[in-house]
Amino acid sequence: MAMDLLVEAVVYGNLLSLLSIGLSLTLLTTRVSNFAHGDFATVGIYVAYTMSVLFGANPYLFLPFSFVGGLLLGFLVYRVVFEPLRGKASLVTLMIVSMALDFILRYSVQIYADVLQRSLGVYTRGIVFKDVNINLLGFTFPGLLVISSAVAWLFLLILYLFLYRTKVGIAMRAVIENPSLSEALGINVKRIYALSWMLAASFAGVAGVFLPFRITVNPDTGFSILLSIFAAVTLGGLKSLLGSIIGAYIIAFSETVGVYYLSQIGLSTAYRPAISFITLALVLLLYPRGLAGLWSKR
Amino acid sequence: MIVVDVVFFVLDLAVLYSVYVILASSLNLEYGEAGLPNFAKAAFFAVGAFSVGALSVRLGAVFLGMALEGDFKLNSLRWAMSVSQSVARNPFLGLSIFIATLIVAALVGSVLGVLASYPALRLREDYLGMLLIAFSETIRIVARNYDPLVGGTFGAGVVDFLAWAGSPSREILLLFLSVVVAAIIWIVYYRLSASPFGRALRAMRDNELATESLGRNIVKLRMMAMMIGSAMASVAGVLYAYYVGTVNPDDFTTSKTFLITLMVIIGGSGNPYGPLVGPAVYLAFDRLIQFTKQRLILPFDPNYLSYIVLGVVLIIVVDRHPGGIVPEKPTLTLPRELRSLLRQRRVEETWNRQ
Amino acid sequence: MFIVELLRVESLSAGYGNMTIIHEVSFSVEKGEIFSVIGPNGSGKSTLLKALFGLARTFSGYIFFNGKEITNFPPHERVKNGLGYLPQTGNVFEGLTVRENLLLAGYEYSNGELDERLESVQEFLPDVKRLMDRKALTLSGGERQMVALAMVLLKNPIMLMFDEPTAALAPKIAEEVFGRIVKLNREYGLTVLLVEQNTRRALELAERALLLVSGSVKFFGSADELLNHRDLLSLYLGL
Repeated sequence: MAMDLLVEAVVYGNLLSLLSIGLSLTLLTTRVSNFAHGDFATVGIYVAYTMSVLFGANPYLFLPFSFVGGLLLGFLVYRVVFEPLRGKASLVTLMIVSMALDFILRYSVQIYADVLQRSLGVYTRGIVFKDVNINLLGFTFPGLLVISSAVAWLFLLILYLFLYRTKVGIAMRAVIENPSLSEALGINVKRIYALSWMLAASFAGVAGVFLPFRITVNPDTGFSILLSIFAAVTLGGLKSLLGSIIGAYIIAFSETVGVYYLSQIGLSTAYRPAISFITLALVLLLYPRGLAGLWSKR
Repeated sequence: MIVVDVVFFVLDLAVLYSVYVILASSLNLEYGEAGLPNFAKAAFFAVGAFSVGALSVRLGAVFLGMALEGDFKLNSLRWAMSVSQSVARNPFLGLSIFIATLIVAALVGSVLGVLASYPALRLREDYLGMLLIAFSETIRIVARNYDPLVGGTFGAGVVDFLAWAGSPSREILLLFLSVVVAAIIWIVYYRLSASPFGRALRAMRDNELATESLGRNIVKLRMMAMMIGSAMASVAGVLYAYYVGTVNPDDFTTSKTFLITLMVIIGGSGNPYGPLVGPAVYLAFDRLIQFTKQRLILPFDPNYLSYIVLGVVLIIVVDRHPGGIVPEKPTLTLPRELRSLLRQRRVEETWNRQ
Repeated sequence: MFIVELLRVESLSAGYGNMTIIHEVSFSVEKGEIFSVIGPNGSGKSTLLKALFGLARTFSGYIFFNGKEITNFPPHERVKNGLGYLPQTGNVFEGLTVRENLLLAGYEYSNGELDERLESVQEFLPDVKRLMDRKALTLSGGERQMVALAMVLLKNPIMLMFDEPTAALAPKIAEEVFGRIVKLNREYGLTVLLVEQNTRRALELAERALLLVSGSVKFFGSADELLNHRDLLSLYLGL
């Protein structure tokens, strides 16, 4: 039992960390609290699902497609929706716009699901992917655990190398800190912003592919985990990428363990979101700097 | 028969319009005038509706000396019907239930509104929005799962307090009541907006520091705005609950909050006529979709399309015509660009403070 | 010897949003000179520099630099044309190391070119070398100034605009800064536009100067003349 819980928590943590770091990134660069972020993951799910249905292969193989789909989506969303508003809209307005975007994306996926169902005759709601088992070092592991961990940690490592070892990545950190100085030094701030959205959406798309391996997925699944993503980012200290990752694992573990205890004491597991809400509220009200406040001086 | 259909259609539309006008006015007061992004609007709307859902049947039973045995979740509809039968013979009973639930709703709404105004002090505006959304969803989830409140996923039955009036007098009375309440609330809102209180709210929205230095108590202003706004939303919830006849937690999701926000933005936030225009536009659009739904054959549910279009419309409005259909009239104080510059500075101050 | 006008400003009115801070300002800066802009607090000196660099809104007037009209150029265009600007704050990336800051300042140069430029900047500011791996946040005021200067110099400017470079610095460090400015001018031939609170030093070092009060020009001409102009100085600056 404990082993199952641990595996569940780690997998959920992997997922959540990819999602939180993306949300954090777009928040840091363009100051948008993106309510459509969960839907980026949903798009990733449906891309992988469509391909796996068309080619009859395991969805894991289509991770790269979800990644690329996310890159395109992120780019489009930034250029079409947020770039025109740059400097013109207040933070709350940007948030409201992202809510509108959520409506657009979420219901577009709903339409897509309906259309796909009709044209291919497959179920497009209540999607579940079947996992594989991986044999390593004489032990049998659930594929989800191995693959999600490998992918998540690889992506996080690549992101780190990008931000600290490449010129463009360093420029992104500079733009986050001081966009006008960056502009004055000749850095193309718009391009950096677009890149941050591409990264955020592609990471979310990849994370999405793992979802149907653990729960039943519908077009609004991405939206339904948004609260947890926000909680993770808030817990980490809204201005810290590292904080988001740690926050993600903490939330993942808290929710997994918390839900188990809820069922033990006879309360419905539908109260699960309360964990995220309480975390979010406590952090914002009592210690807004979050975990990052523990190691950052600013 | 067609005439009756049309009459009911108009009644239907008018009640919904009234409810939305009240909700839009409340959000306009909180966000348009005071700058508080009350994204828990659905929750305050729900408070009114839940008061009715939880109490109308129980109160009726108390007044009648009736004993309620069994599960609320499974029996509320049945109980509601039998109380309504008593109301059919006794208008007083109906009116007392209505007034009692209205008072409870307004009170609970106000108190919650005051509570919700506290975080506004310490949080940057978008984080405040986040917190309020989380709060809103949690209320919905609790209502959905704690069955004795409003019957969980089954919903709660609502007493028909106008059962003593036969159809169509009943519908006309309800319509009349809704329109009058909405008119009163809107006029109150209009007066507040034009009063020194309204000016203070707008000043606070545009530059807290300056407003504070002029001696205005920011905390009190916020509290009052949220209290009044929440009480309004709660009243809207009461009307809505009696109109629909049942109360279901899933009716009060963040999508509802977003719809109202949409109405406020498209109508024109910061302008008192905005809450009259926004709901009209939304309802017109909604009815149009319902109408064409029956005539178009699409491979998917047309309701989806309406949400997508609404989202697109909002983005276009924000980009091209951010003031909405009736933009705020510029005052004699600060020019708009300087205001947004100051707002930007204030945002950065708060950002740096954290 | 030819006297070349490097910067000419004609009737410039600029500010933020809808608010005009400087009104119809006209003056010129000659190539190779040190030109000081002085005036009481809030007179618009910083805004003038921002407008010259493209960070404030220009309502009317013209700016000519090195033979081109740059009135509507975005900041990085002006940088490409040889204009350097050292603001008072926000002149380094605090969360990044000095090395990373310099890398970003040389963003558009190839690796080889960047190394070359870095070397020549380090010749002028040798202390930068030992600070390379320090996070900019941890630097002292004077060190930060120095790094910011290094960043601007990397771009090979022909004119440098300084916004109150010695504010909040101890007198000894302030003198070091003035020394560097003079060296840049005398040895490296950089034209300098200096906005300073320290009126005396600013006028002593400059050839010509501008007195800006409430956004308008009250004096434009020889720095020596202004330094000896009891009336103006006491009236506006309480000296």
